[in-house]
Amino acid sequence: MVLLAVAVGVVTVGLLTAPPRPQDRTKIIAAQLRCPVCQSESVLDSPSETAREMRELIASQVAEGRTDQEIIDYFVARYGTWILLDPPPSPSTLPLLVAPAIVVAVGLWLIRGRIRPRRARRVASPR
Amino acid sequence: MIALFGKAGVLLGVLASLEMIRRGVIGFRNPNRASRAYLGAATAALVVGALAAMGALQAALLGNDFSIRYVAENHSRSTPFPFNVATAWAALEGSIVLWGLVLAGYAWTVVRKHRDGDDVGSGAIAVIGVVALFFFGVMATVADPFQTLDVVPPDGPGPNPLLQNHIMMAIHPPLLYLGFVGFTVPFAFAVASLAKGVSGSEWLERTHSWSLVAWSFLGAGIVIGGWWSYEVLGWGGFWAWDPVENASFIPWLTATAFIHSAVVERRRGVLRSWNFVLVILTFAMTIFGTFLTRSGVIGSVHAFSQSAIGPVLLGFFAVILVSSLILLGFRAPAVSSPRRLDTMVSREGIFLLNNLVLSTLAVVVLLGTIYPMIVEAISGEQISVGRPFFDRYAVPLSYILLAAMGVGSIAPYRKARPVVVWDRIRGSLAVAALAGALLVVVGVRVGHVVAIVGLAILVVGPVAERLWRQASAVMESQGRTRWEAVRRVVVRDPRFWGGQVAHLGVAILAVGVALYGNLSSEAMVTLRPGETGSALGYEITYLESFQRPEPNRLVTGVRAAVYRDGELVAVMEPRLNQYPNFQQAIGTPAVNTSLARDIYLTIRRLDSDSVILDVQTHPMMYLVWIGGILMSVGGLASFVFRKPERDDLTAAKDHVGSPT
Repeated sequence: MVLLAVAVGVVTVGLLTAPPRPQDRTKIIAAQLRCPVCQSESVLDSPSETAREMRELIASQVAEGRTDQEIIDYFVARYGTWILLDPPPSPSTLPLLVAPAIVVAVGLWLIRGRIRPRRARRVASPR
Repeated sequence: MIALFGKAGVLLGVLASLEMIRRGVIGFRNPNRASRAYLGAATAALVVGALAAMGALQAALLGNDFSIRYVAENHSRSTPFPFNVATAWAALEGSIVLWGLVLAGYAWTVVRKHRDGDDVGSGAIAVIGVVALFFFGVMATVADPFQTLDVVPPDGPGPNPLLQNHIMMAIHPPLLYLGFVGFTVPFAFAVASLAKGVSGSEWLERTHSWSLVAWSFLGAGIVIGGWWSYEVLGWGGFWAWDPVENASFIPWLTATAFIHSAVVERRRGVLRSWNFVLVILTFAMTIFGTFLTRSGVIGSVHAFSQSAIGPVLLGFFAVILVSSLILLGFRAPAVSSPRRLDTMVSREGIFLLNNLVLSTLAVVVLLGTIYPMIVEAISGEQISVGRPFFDRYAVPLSYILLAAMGVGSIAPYRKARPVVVWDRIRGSLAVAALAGALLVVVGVRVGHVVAIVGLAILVVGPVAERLWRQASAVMESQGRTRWEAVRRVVVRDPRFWGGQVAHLGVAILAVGVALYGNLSSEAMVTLRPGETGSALGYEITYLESFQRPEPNRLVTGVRAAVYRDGELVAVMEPRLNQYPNFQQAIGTPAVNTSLARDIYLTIRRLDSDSVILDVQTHPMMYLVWIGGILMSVGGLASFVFRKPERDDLTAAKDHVGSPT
């Protein structure tokens, strides 16, 4: 038990004090953009020439000191929101964004119907 | 001549399907006539027809018969073995022939198990006949593989280069189809059983083997597909949330939910209607997946109307889904069980949680896949749904699944008192915490990795502990060796322990994916011949470039020596393969695997005086493949664990219940 507590402590402290990993902003941004000439790969993953050029473009804008949002906006302005692999909230994407929550809610409601209510349980098992 | 033979096979398939439906329905209504011989004759004809069609296609491909359009469009004289064989399922028409053949094979296994007088089984043959009629009908009409050309070309372009670049692409489709098509059997028995209004779980019990076999093949097909992607596509990944991948993943998710909820029905007699829903959805999603991958709708919504195959597949999907759900709606009051679970805090409660998570994930993947198509079809607006969207759901849901797997496998049925559960997991929790501490101490200070390793230990540990304890009991009472005792325990409950093999695979896979996602590195180096550059702690020397013609392609590559601290690690040869008739060269990365990591080299650009190499390292990448394959094999393990010897059988009788 003590061992467990110590180990958990080591993990918690170790993770919390972990030095921030070097963030490669170019990669983070490239992962959010769709490679325009591929089927569904991101600019980060695609081996295509276009994606390579886009990565270089992102890298140079990062070097110029632009923020992530500015760089993403730059590509959205050029290609439209289609370039974003995570569609931003809008009237046409609303159903997509709320559907998972609805599925979970319906699922939980259905599961509730499968469970014997607390009172009935007590009556059924008079132990 | 070959074309005629093939067409005759397809026609025989159509007639045989019709006869299966006729005889199946007769036997369904009048059990006296539901004999194996009566149904078997029609099914045998289906097998012959399917074999003739596939045989003709193979003969045409291997014999370079370019008078057949399919051969002219997808084959070339220089396509080497085994890719010339695999060309039979490289394009739409041929893949339908493979589908028909696999379906005929499954139909035959059903007939072989058929007992005279079995009306539900007879009805299932009729349902399989309907599915066969659809696919052979498609071969006879909108996707005719034996269409002939008036002008016979001397040679063809060969299959898509991506499909002839690696051996795994030859076996990936058959595995996937063995999975997809296999779900026809549980679906057919479910529908027949619903139509008869039979209450009870007989259909589940009878189709258990087929469900597991189909699930295993589907999983193996998906894993092999990911492996192929890693070995061939050169981006260093194995899963892109691509619509084609998702098309096979959705039925896998619903099927996984199904084989778990089936356990609950068998053990506790609840979830009857839900199991019907899941088997119907799984089968429907295999048809929908085929529609996604084969109609061209992914490339462009507008490709949908260019060929008749898209509307036909979508129509069949809709008919299957709507008609079987309506049937279920009518029969639900008769078949569903009035029983309820006592509490969520029980093994069956955790199974329900597993079903909720898997269903949610299935909906998310389905929606993310088709949503852009729907939006574009309706408003013309183009949107993308990719990795960030899918990962946002898949990552947390995977955490829940792993936790549920660990606790669920050892929680008692009916009511799991927290004390009992705690007692069973605390040892593993301690090991998990120690492993986490160890990781942190050696410098792996990434939350996801530490958490997933801990969860993986929680998945494997409690069950391993249980196996050890039960084996110890057997050793004491029967004086066996440890190994024999373990075998005895496993043989007593092959389904449970087969499932645990699959869980072990999932745990290994999860660790592999966590390592891949969090500890992989990538860098680019530009090198001139003879020059050495460093990347990711390795020194890489560009030795030379080479070029060699092969029968079906021109291979260009570079030879690069990779050193670590001055010591040679490997000489690697990333290549570019140029296929005639295809503009873009297909890269083949070079992968060097060791116990600690993969070194992954891809040519990003090759000029006469320099090369740009993409260097990646992926720690313990093999965990992904081993885990994935083990997971799939786990589905089949229950068959291997079975077949107890005589004295084992007596021992099993003495045994008081299996793990609860």
